[in-house]
Amino acid sequence: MSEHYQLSIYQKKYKKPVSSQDVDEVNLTSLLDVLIILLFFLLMSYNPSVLSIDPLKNVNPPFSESLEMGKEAIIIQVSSDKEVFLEKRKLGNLDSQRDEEALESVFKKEFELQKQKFLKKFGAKDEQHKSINFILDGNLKYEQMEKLMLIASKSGFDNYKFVVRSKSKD
Amino acid sequence: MSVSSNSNEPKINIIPLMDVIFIFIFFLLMSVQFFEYFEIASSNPVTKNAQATPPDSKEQKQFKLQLGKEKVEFTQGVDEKVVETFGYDKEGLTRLKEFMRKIKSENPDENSMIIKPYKDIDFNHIVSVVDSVQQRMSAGKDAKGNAKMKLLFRNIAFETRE
Repeated sequence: MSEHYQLSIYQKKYKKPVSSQDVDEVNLTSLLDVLIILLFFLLMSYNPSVLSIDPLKNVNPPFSESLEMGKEAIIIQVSSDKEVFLEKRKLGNLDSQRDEEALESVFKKEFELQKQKFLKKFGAKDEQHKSINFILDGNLKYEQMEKLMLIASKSGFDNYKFVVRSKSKD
Repeated sequence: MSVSSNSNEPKINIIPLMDVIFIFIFFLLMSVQFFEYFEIASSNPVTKNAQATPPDSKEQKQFKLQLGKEKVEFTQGVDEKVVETFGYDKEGLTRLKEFMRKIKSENPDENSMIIKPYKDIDFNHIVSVVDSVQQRMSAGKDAKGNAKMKLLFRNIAFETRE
């Protein structure tokens, strides 16, 4: 009230209503900082490829200058211990003869499943159902890689995609 | 006369919430790895006796890169005549890249390369050689005037022993 009596007649006449002055303002600066950091994460993790790559802990693909985008197909991972995984499910070991035979039957089954799935999705003319993605550890020898390709070839796959990590150019 | 309305509504203090969010973001920063994944395409493996037939070449050149224990040999023809030899070191791979560009300029219609690694060669070395074979080269411009790029040798196939 004392504040009111200190004002001149002109000021009293044109003074803004008190109710409109007591509005708390939300400080958006901090919220914008959080939003920008979240945007940064989204941009860095954005992948235009339809293929979602999630290597297992003991599978380290080599670095490469390739820029070819991955396409949808089944993913086989092989660790440096020659353990073979299908979508993170362990199938066996490449050194074991028994596991090799089991791998062949699994690959054949997956080929048929992929064929049915892609026929519905892409039509009969598309040959994408013959593709298979390999995520191989960089220390894997060619002998194992060759074995894997032969098993895949016998199962019907004829288009192999080897997943690599991007190499930053100097 | 206007009546001042003292607001007694409870106010949410968002400062502790912001602290939680920042700590959460800190953990994400520490744990996430930003890797981009691409792929190297290869066709069905070829056997030693079979001849790779590039669909788009008139004359079969049979270019092959033989990856030995300590060196890479470029051979040509069915008799696998060695044309050039390279090492796996940085200098050797740089020479290999230049050589691939030279071979491509002499044989622009040739798009295939057979890769025959020794059984104990690891996948890292194979990929470094494939990078030389599948370098990107300029392929003119598209309708919008942007530069088009294509691979030196698009079709690669691995040779197997069976």
